[in-house]
Amino acid sequence: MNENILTVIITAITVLGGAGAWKFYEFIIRNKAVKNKEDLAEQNIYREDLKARVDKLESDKDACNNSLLAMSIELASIKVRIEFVEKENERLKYRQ
Amino acid sequence: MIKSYFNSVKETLLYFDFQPLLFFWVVSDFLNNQVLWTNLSYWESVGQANTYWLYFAYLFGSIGMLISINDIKWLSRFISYYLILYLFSTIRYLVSVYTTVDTEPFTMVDFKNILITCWYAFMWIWVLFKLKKEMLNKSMRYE
Repeated sequence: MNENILTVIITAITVLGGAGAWKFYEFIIRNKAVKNKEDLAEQNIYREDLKARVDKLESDKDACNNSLLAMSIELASIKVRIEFVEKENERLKYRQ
Repeated sequence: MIKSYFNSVKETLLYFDFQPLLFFWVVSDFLNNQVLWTNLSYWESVGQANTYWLYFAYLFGSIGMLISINDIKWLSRFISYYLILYLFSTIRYLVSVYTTVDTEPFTMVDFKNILITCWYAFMWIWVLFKLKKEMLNKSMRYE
């Protein structure tokens, strides 16, 4: 075979092989990017869900605090009443 | 110290823009082009008229790269063109070495020439790969 024709054929095969290899590489990189994007979207959804749950817990915490405060006040008043009743009881005991 | 030096070289090769380096390389290539310093009759007299036209094709590629150094799309096209020419020359040389191996043994000079020409081919492939990768990343960023 003529040397020039052989050279052209080998060059064409090399160039086509290189172009094919590049297309394959491009396909892999694009797939990887799409997968990363999907993972990121999933992570974002999870993060939004976590944020919503934290917001709900924060608002619940305020309500719990308020009710705890009310209970503490009520407990303090009950304690005072019990002390008064106990003292009154003692006084009545000694009176008899 | 040696490790940090090689890390620094690696990071430079991986992350730095290479257009300025390419510019100086192509200017050097342009100035070394035989079309500027000889004429067709000289190459005809030595029986290698095709070599003159091959140099002419290289000159076209070099000028194209110099003009489009700021346009990554056209630069990659001219580099592809230049690389195909370079591969053609390299393969032509390898074929001639292979076909004349019976009459002339595979000499040290042949080995040296093949090594150098393959090294340059590798360099152009690397440059083209970097450019194409940059273009791919840019296109994916805007998708």
